[in-house]
Amino acid sequence: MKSTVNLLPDARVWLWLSCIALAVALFYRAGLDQRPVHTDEAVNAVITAERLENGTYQYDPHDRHGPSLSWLESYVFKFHGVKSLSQMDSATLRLSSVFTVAATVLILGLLPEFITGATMASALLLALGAPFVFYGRYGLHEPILIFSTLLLIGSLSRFWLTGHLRWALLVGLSAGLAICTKESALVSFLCLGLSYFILVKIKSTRTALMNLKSALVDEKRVRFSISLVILVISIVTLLGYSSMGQNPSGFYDFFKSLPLLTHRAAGSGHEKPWFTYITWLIKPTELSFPFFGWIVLLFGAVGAVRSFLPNSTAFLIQFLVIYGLLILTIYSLTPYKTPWLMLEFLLPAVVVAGYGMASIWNFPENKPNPILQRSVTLLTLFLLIRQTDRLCFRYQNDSQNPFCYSGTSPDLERLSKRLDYVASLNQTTSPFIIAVVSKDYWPLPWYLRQFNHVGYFTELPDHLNQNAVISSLEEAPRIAQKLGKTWTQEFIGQRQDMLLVLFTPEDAHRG
Amino acid sequence: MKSLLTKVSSLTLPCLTLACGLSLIGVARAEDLVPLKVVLPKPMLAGTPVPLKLPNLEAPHSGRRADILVPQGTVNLALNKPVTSSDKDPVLGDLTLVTDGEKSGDEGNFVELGQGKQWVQIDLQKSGTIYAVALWHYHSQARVYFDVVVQISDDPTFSKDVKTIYNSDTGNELGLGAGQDHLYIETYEGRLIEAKGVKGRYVRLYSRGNSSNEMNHYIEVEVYGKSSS
Repeated sequence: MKSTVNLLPDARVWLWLSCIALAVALFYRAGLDQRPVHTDEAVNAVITAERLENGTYQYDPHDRHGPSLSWLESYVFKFHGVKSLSQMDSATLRLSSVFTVAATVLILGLLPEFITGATMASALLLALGAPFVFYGRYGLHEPILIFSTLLLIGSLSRFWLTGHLRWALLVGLSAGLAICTKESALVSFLCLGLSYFILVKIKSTRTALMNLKSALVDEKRVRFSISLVILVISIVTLLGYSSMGQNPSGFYDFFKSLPLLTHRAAGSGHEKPWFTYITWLIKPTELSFPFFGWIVLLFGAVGAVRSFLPNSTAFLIQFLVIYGLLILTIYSLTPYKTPWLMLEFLLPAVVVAGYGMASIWNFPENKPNPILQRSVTLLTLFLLIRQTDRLCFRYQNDSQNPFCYSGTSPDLERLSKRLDYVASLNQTTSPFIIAVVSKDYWPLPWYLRQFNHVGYFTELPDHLNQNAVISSLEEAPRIAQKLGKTWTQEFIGQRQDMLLVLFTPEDAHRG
Repeated sequence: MKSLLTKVSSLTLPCLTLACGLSLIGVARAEDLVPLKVVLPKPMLAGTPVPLKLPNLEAPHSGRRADILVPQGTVNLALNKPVTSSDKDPVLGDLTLVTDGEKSGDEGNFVELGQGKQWVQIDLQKSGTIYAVALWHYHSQARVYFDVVVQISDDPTFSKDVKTIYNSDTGNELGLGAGQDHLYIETYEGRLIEAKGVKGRYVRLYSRGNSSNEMNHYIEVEVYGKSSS
């Protein structure tokens, strides 16, 4: 049996990864409540609140993704003693993403290390890269999706190198988790399969790949493992989408979501040109030079070229180069684009870039060069931190920030305070009623979560004894006419390019 | 009765003379006044503005904006004049953008000042008679800037002889006194404020964040008037 386990990171690498993951868990939490809650985060929070209050998850293929985020968020909230939407806060809402990115850094250690320092370099790029920091502090599905994808790739590599069946089991679990996170995981699986197919078509690579394979991985074991993986994926998906059997139709609805996914990919109001992702990553803005994009491009190019040099055995890097390019191509050609989707091709990109960075560390004699190592690392860290500080902390709400996509206006905090004040003037024993008249009212359910009597309408009902009305600009003139002159209006920012009008009784306005 | 008719006829001539005289003066004044021509940038927002008709908020008007009449020879006194600000280190851009004559809403044409209450001040370098101020905060998104106040003074510190020509700070959040003017949604037309011949050398413009974020922005400020010779 050939010795292939020497490619696996040693204890020292695991120790470093643990330190970086711990730093992520601590540093990502700084000012976690400073950014307004995004529309998608608000939707996810309401879904999690339903799970907390009812104990089940009702999958709706029309406007929901998989159950894993609400499952994870519900555990974080339970740990903090939160039982309903009104008790939630934005910092706790985002904790699950912070922990998921920290765990993603840690499981980089599952990947074989083809050159000393490559795993640590990838971990640094991931932990400090602006897109990962920005969306690692956002209550969205993408952090879990990249975690499960990396776990899948890592456990596949481990199975190939060691032949142990426990890794095949983990392949099934991670793939099941990815499906339970977002339906687009199927696109990742398709790209993973295509990448393997392309890779084995290259003769030299196929030889290198077979040389690295554990002797335990024979045809019989591969067949058994594939059956095991399919079984585990099916069980995890069934349990997840049916909410542990409480909502059996959820599993069936998952299959109904696939044609809807194709429909959504056509745009749904998020249509962008094919080059948008590249622009978001490497086009300088006035807020910051895009250091992360250029560093990943530069080191990624070095890593890709080196991995395809003759006699290279870095089959996983070759695989990730092909996989990353395929995902980037598919996502770029898909009209629907949002910046958090970039994480899916940035994950393989940082692993390849880490390999490229470590290649420079070990230049020219293929052994650590302390001068190059220190200077390249310090410069890279400095540039990454500079961009991350500006885009993920200092100017995280700025409309020029490419990651702040359709961001919620901080002005909504003023809305909550204003309504609190108006409610405090309510001398009667009758409930304080807020009517929201708008077709596109998100993320208002988050910002109005403290109020028990909020109704969402397409037009103001005739016999509602409301204390405040929030309306879209389109509906405002009709509502003003209906309410009469004793109500005053204020503009309230809803999202970067959307305004609401708040109607309150004149007495409250004077206050 | 005859004496009454005599009295009336004796008053007719002076009255007619006075009326003719006044109308001639009026015609002469009207001839001196011309509509202010403000060159507008290209609109950045797609679609037509929402036709709001709200008592306390100003709607984006449909059609052409009403003209302001100014004396002939009125020019933009602010063009390329020095600008100072409460934010010494703007987040984006620099203060020269405020008076550089470029009103386009594209990226790179505005200065972004920090959060909360901020002001910019234009030094016209000579006291002048000011008839209008045109102001563009940011017009590539539908936004409202809060507590917009425009003041004119001969004192660079604005501690004396301050004339306020616009104030939408109804809650006196800035501490400059409560205003009566309306909040408005930013468009490519900017805000045209009538100054009615106020005299002064410095123009200061305040704001306190906007409906999209807490920052303050200026694409361009034009101060229309005549310099004192």
